Amino acid sequence: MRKYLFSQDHKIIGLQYYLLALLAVFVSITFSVIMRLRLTWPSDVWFIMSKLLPTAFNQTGQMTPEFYLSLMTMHGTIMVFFVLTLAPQAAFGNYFLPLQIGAKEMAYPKLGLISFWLTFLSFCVLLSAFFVTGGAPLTGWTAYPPLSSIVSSQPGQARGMDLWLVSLSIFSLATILNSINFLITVITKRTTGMSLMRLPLTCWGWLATAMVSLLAFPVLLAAGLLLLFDRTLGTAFFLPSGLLIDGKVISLTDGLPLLWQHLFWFFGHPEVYIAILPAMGFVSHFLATFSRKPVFGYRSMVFATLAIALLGFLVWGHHMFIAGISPYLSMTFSLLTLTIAVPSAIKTLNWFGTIWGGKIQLTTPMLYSLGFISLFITGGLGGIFLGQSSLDIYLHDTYFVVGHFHLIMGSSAIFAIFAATAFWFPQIVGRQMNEDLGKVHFFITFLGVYAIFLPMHFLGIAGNPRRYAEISEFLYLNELQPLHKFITIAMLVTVNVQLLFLINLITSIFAGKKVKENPWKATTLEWTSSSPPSKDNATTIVYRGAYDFSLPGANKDYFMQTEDLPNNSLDNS
Amino acid sequence: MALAIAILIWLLAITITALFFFGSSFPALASNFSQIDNQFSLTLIITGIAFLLSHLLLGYFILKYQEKKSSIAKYHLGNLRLEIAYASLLIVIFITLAATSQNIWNKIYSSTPKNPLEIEAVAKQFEWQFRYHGSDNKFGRIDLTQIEKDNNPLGLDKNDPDGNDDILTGSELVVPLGESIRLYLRSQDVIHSFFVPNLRVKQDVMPGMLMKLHFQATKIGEYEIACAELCGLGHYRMKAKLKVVSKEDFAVWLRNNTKNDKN
Repeated sequence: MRKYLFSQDHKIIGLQYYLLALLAVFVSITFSVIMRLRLTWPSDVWFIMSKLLPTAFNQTGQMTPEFYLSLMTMHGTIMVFFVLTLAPQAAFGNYFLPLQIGAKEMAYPKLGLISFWLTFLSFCVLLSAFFVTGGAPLTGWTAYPPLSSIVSSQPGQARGMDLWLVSLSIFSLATILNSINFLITVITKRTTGMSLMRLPLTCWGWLATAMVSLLAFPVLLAAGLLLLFDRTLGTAFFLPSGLLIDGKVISLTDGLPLLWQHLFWFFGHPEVYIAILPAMGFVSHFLATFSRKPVFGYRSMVFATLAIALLGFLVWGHHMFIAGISPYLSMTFSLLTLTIAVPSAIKTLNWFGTIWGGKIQLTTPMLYSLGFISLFITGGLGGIFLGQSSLDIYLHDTYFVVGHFHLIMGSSAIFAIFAATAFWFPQIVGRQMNEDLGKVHFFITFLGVYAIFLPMHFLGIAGNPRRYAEISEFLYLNELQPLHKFITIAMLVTVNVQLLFLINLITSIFAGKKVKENPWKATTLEWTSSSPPSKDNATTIVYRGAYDFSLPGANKDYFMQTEDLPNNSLDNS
Repeated sequence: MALAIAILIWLLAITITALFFFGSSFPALASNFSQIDNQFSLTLIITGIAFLLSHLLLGYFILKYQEKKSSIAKYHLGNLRLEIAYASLLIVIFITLAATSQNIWNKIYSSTPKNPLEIEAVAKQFEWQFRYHGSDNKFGRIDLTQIEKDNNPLGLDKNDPDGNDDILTGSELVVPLGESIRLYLRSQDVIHSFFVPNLRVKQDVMPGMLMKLHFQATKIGEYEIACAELCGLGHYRMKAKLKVVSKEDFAVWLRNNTKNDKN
């Protein structure tokens, strides 16, 4: 019990986070499958489902639009918080950050334990929203008031919405604690010789993400509590006066619904980088390892990471160009938004620079990393359209946005998680994941996510608004139904192929090929400990930068950070 | 293996580029905002080139630098000059895009046409309703407590004479061709968003605020008005009709709808 369930060992906590994220992604994908079925075949009767979930279907056996919206809200919430925030940062970070910087443990082991269990609690609270009267909230993960602040505004906006807010408040608290732990660990627990400029880029990703989380999540926590007060204590932070809801005039003091959007997106936009910064770190790390080359422009990678973390706080208004903010403000945010593309593009250049002239080993983690680059570019270029306020007038709240963020924040981050799983699996288990199965999974998933999310851009261009339970009400949308069908079929195939990954993950624990230590011939400290690592981490001294691959004149193509060879010691810094 | 991936990436790149260049079709334009379409095309060309080049290069690198027995990786720590040159190029491109984009944004948001036709659009769960001010050029006051579902759906204050000649058209917006329209948008309950794909117009309607919108319709016909901001379970069916008619037809329509009977 104490050894596995309530352990303070950062490795166990990391695995717990990974399992929670895996459970969450399973739940959330199931939701999206049901959503797509409803969207594609709205009037079909889903016999078995309507027996299982009687409240979600009307008399004629059709799934209600409110249930569609509840699923959509929960899909978004779970993916953003419990998958994209947890897996790259909390799961891999907790496990490998101390190992990579040569620390015996995280700075505050108890804090790690507390933050995991708080996160778990918040997941349970979130799911419980489905089981209260009225069901889960239907406001989308952005929960814009007044829809979210008035109990009688819609079904699902009663206790379900309260539970959603409570869940996110607990989650915010847990993430804040976790970020403090990460920050202090990087600052104080680095081993002798591990200067900041010798940190692997993975650690820079985790460090920057911890900084961003520490500044962003308190804002969500505060906003969430204010909204909860509006709902339960009769305050009116986000409620304007003169509303007519459910036949009743609601006259309160003059609150501002726009204020919620400012607070939410001040958190919400940095949240995107919380998902992608560690992913960028992973990919930089894997590309170097499997190209047998130092990271191209290590220093500018670090600065680009920090620049993205900083600029991420200055662009939230691009979610609100046409929400009623001053047109001058929209102009400013539009310019700042295009600015953030510069450090992102520099990173992309450096990834190309890293594989250029390398000796590319096409292992599964490398394939996922290359897939990440492609998805990141494609998704990023969509951002060039949306960042321009003039184009956003038309594209805002259409499927163009849905396609864009699923490519860049969803798919590319998930590809980095796949890569990280395959890369560190031997370290965690002492066995390797099956490479052939991994490659098949990569190919189909790579094509699959393109087949799902690329057509969504065309839906957006044709003017299909997002968050519609069906499109049959509008004549101009009718011709898009075949494209919706194509997306749903591509999605069903891709989702099923994820079983390959799951099977690979589970069977490899018992039957995977046994590997020697450091099977990828990597340079960083985690590979100096045994696989699986013993409970107490080894402590070592660091003599060189994180990416000493293919040093000219050396008798092997990599040097671990612990190897002291003064004659060949070239520092990245 | 490397060849397979390279070909996959190349095929993907070419297919996607072709799809975007030939398949990006907006609904037929019916307003004075053709510049939005042009800006989209400009952005599409720039991002299309970036997309195609980067993917062709990615495939080429994977093929060219695949691991061979004889191959030795270059030891290369980066090239700051290249990065600076590249960043400068990007900044020039982004400034060009931002400048052209802001120009359009300005035109849309700073236009204050003289003597526009003023119409009010009222959003509520889940319908749009429109109101014309009638011959007195004044909208009557609204009092939410006086709302009656059939007789007084918007809650016109019966004590305000300005409201006597106001014309309510339900969920039908009729506008004359080529004339400047000023639309006042307000919401009775939650946030909605006024979206007319053919006009390239979209504006969130924030409760507690009066939003303003200008446009000119340039093509006679009937178009659909949608809601683009999640407003509840009926969001997907919150629709209205836009009718663009000739000036003459509009005058006739207005005359037919003017209330002669003042109780």
